[in-house]
Amino acid sequence: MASNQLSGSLDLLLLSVLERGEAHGYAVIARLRDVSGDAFDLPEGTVYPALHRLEADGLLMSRWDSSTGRRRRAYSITDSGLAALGEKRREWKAFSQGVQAVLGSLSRPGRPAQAAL
Amino acid sequence: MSAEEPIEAYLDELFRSMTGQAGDVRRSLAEVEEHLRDSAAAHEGQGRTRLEAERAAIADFGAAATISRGFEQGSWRDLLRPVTLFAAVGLLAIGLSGVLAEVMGHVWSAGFVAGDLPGTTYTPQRCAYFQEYFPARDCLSSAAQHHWGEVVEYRVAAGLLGLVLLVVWRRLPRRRPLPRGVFATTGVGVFGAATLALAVETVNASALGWSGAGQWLSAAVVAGAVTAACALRMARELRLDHAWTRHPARPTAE
Repeated sequence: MASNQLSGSLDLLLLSVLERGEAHGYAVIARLRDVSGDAFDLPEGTVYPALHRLEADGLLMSRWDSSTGRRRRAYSITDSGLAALGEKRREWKAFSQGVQAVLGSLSRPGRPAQAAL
Repeated sequence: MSAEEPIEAYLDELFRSMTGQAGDVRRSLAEVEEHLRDSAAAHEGQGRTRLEAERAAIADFGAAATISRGFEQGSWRDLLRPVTLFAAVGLLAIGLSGVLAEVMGHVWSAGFVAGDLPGTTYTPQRCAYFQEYFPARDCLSSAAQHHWGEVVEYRVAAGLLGLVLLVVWRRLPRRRPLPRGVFATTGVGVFGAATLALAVETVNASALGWSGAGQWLSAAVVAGAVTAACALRMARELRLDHAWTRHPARPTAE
């Protein structure tokens, strides 16, 4: 997926990944890539500013974690983040249903273009 | 940094292109380095040499200029806290000028603070209204007493609102701070302009016999003091920035 398509939904994706548990940036990106089946083509570095912004908005919190022997910044979702995630999920569902409905109606064979539009 | 150490070279480039608070920059660089080391290790695990793996990790991560721009992208919410503080300082200054106007009224008379310009007249009804509260005084003197009270009360009320805003400011979540010097420089501009305008009004009133000059003078004195405080802070911050420019290996003070 092109990065400009993905960037609008990046917050939703990051919050969704972190809903499953605390993770550092590299693990968040790895989870995102694994779950999407490598569909997302986004420069990895753009995830960190988004994580910082979500933390500044109070949707995430972070701490330095040295449990693996290396010092990493680990992010976890806050209660406000969970609430925002629920809202963003609803918005995304309504949006995707709308897109699906339009695509479905326009791609029906034999339908006159004027009627479809 | 040589091309033999691509991650180190990349971190140096990122460091040079990043601005902002030292703590934020340090944290971002630490996170980026950890990410690149993890990513390079994963690439090495796929059979690449260390050099190739580091280059691949950097390519996956994105150009340093793009990443630093991303870190510096602000939000309107970043302004909420400094704007609240600015408003609180302004309102507190107005409140202080009210206290000063009260003192000036006691020391030099109500007429000095809120007396009318020569030639001002009131209708008999208006005079009766003023003299209802100050029956022993003539019309202009009772009007000055009345207006002095208003000057003090309204300004102190503004100061109390400033205290409320100060509490709100303390409770607002800390976000990305404004670039160094912006708050102080804005303060110098706004309060400096206010000081100038109030000083002109003071001079005008004093040229016409000092009547009512105190309301302008009290505000000008406080605005001037706030301007001086902002100027001192601005000078300190600019000196720090100058030191930072001369010694870029040192992080900026927070």
